[in-house]
Amino acid sequence: MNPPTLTLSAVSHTYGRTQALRDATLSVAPGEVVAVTGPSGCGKSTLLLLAAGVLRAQSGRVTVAGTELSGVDDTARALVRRRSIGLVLQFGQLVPDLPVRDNVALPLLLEGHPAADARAAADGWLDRVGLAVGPDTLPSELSGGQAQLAAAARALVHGPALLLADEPTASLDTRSGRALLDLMLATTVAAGGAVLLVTHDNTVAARADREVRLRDGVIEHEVALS
Amino acid sequence: MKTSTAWLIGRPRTSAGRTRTLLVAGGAAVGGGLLIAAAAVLRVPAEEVRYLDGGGTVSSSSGEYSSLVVQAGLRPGVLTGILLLVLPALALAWQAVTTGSARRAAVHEGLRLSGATPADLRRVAMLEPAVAGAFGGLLAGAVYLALWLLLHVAAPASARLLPGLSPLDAVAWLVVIALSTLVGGVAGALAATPRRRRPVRAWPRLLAVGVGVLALVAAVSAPRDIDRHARSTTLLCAALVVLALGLLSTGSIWVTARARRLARSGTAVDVLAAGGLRTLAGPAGRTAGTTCVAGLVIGVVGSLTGLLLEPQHSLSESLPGILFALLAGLLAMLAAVASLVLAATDDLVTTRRAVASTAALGADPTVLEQVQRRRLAVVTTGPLLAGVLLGGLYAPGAQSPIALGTVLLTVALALLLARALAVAVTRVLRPQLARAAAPSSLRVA
Ligand SMILES: Nc1ncnc2c1ncn2[C@@H]1O[C@H](COP(=O)(O)OP(=O)(O)OP(=O)(O)O)[C@@H](O)[C@H]1O
Ligand SMILES: [Mg+2]
Repeated sequence: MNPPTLTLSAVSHTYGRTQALRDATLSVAPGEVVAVTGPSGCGKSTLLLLAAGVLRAQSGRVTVAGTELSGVDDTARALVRRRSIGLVLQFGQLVPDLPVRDNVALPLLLEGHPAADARAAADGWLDRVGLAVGPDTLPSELSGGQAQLAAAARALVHGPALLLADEPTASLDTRSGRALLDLMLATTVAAGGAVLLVTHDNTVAARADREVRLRDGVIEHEVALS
Repeated sequence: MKTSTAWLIGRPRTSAGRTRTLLVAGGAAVGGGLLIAAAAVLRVPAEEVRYLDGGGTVSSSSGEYSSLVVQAGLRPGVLTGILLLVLPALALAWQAVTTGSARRAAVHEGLRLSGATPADLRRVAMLEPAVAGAFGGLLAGAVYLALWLLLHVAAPASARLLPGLSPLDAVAWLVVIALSTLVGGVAGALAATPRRRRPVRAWPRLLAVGVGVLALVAAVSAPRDIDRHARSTTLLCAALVVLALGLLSTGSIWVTARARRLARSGTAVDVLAAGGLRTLAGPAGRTAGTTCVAGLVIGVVGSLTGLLLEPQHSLSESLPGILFALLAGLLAMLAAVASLVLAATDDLVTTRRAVASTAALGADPTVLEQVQRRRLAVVTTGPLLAGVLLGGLYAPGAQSPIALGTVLLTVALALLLARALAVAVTRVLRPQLARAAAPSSLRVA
């Protein structure tokens, strides 16, 4: 069997006095889709940010595509994020000053691809997620749902080995949400990538191979689906 | 990361970004031009004074330059005057570099999430201010040329402050270009580095102000015979510069203190004004500091004018000095106004969600405008007045009623000016305020 793309072992995190995550252990294999569910404030986003190396694990180990994130510096973690991870956050989190198209091209630009190629790839993905924008459209001109589509395009543009998505369809209507989810899962899984999906929508969770339930920062149980 | 990529990501795109770049360049141009001028003043042949046995002195001065730059005792005063003008210009440039911090934080967060390394982020942050600095350095040559036309070509010999052009000016210009590029880049990196929020420690800053004031008083009250003149002038200049730096850094203490007072007063306008001031104590403090230094320059200018108007000077002798002083005052005022508009615009952009929610809760436009005027008053009236009064210390030698009257008149004018400024800037920013209050601002993160 292939080694897992993402492994968390006994990871904990506290913000000040709030313990957001305690002793979480979890792994996602290549081609697997795992959903993380649980009530508001139970630590789902925290878990995702730890997996992305945006937050640094205060204890325990996080490994992505063979690199142990807690053992390396900010630069190395940024490189892992840029090369192996696609990240869709709850509020889109686009770069406000950059046109939407350049936002989507960003992972490729950072990696040193020529701007023309990066933008062409970005246009392709914007098309696939179904977002029609001009070359100079700014994120401030998008609706909440459109910003999520753009964020999804940005997460997919470089063909990541690990797709991390935090409520990626929360601001979309049911149909667009389903279409986006189809696209994200199909492209990533077809390329042998792994997906970790945070959601509190049961129909979204039902698309996963496995569901991990969180409660008060602790993994309550795991269920195999389908 | 390739520089072209950094530029693609970091180049100024919004009109606010372009204004910021222009202000950085403008501040660097004025500061740099004045520095080249300061270096040129040092080239003017100094006068040698010989004492005659029977008392009295003989001077070697050729009469080609104003006594302000020729006499060893007066030259440091001119250099201080120039430095005092460089400070507000550079303070303005620094303020421009640091504006838009909320937006910059969002940009950085987005870049970081996409995998930008700390080095990439630094690169992006440095590039724009460095380019603006280089541009400003280039423009500094033009500023110096303008000064040279005014203070060498156009001025009568008795008022000439600058020597003829020389290759040394070009060298100074190159140094200024290199320095402003470098400083711009470093400033950009500094402004983008998330610093841990430390409580502002007030005493070192207040100490600097205290030391400056004491040194100023000591220098001004030192006996003024020929021998000690040079020394006391040097002390005076040092005092003014220390004082100016101290004042620049105490701005945020003043703003925080005022915000606390306003919050306690309890009217809606005061409470809203206090909230904004407290969250933006840094930028507002920088404005207050710049305004205060502008006040200091105006105070010094007022005192100098007063001294020059005393009956023992003939008008033809003192007129160039007075004109120069007025020019300096005007420049300082311009820096303060630019700083004010910059800060107020930035403030509106940063807080537009708060402004919009306040409006959505039912605050009408007049209230929003009152809030803004109250905030502007905090960073203008007090600081400007304090600066003018401190600058007024410069003229304790003012024995004649005319000189004293001039100082008092300057204070009164400064008060009026501060009021007018707060009103005028509010008027100018009305469209921005309307935009900030618009419902679309509610969506801004
Ligand atoms: N930056 C932060 N500073 C302090 N506390 C935080 C921070 N981020 C999250 N928390 C706290 O950590 C806990 C978990 O937060 P998290 O965002 O992971 O929850 P979540 O499961 O994603 O919730 P939701 O479903 O509402 O998005 C919450 O109690 C929250 O208040
Ligand atoms: Mg969340």
